[in-house]
Amino acid sequence: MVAPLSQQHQSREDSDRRLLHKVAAGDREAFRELYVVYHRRLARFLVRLTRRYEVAEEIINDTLWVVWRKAGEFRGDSRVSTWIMGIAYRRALKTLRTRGHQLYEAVPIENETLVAPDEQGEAETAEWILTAMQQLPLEQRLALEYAYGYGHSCEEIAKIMDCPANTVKTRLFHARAKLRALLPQLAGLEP
Amino acid sequence: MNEHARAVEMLTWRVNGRLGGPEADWLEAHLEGCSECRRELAAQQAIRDAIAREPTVEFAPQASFNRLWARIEQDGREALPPATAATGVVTRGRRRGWAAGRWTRAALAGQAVLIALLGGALWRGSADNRAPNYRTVTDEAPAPTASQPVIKAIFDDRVRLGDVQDILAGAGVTVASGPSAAGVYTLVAVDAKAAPLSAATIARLRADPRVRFAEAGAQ
Repeated sequence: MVAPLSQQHQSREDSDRRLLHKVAAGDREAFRELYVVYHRRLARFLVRLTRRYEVAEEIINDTLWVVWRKAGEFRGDSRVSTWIMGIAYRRALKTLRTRGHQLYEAVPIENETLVAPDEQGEAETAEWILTAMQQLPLEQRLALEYAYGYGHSCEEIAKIMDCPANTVKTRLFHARAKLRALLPQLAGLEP
Repeated sequence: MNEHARAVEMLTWRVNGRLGGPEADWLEAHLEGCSECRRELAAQQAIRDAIAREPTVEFAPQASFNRLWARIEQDGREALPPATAATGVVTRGRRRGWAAGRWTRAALAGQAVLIALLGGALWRGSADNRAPNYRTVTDEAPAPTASQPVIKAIFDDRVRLGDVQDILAGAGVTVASGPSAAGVYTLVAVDAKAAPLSAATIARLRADPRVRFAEAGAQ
């Protein structure tokens, strides 16, 4: 069973809906406000994905351009963030594939692990995990971002990525398995 | 699916706060007695924490927004025929990018006068329209002449062909050309002699919620 949104998430959703309603009426200031919110939410993940800020910004602006044009078509049958993330997902795939494989395709590492120092702090662990994530296929990386970075439910991720829920589960499973293979110490973390 | 596999599948949603109800209770009970799942939980929490880390670089959303807004305004200018772009437009319902630029507000003041003038021009122009020279969607007649009054219109994105025909028939107009790359249709009177274009024609189009934009235009 999917848990109801936390108070913080519900408040964010309410705010998003108010802004989107105004955007649909052509309110520039509401659009600017919504833009700033989603720029922040998208930039972190897109910069990580593309490794280049100008490419991330291009995807963000393409996404919000669609939001400006299509705000009136949002029917409210999902969270606003799910809707916008779905747009961003499609724009990101298109941009990355247009710009060539080197931006997003993993460099395969066979029979190799990323060995982190034995005495590593939380920040170092995080750095190693993010580095290892770059070795994952794009769809698996994105599934991890949506689940752990944005707190989307399995059904929401399926909607964003336009695939069955079981595919989401499979992508997450393989992503974690690959991370464990690259980072054996991940499995040894103390609960 | 055995109990352990079921628990592993739920861990993601426990970690991201989206697992609720009896399943959440069941998982907590399973975690109590399963050290392997507790280690997997810790690993997934580490993944979550890594992904959630704030970037070390500062982003500049306002500068990015300014670039996007300039693009939206540019789209708007390109979407309009020169005659109306220079003088402003009236939109109905939801405004789009092309309708939300600063020039729109600046031009609104002179718009009423313009409409009156254009309306008068339409009335006068119609007297000379003895042989309409335009093509419709069903024939290959040539486009309207330079002196023939026309209306520039944009329909809502969701409008279907049947709706367009209904709108056109209701206003006594037909498509002379279009849509342009920006979605602008050039409309002319079906029977310029009996029912020439007028300010009332434009008003009728504007009154239809399926019409986003209607204005007297030039060929």
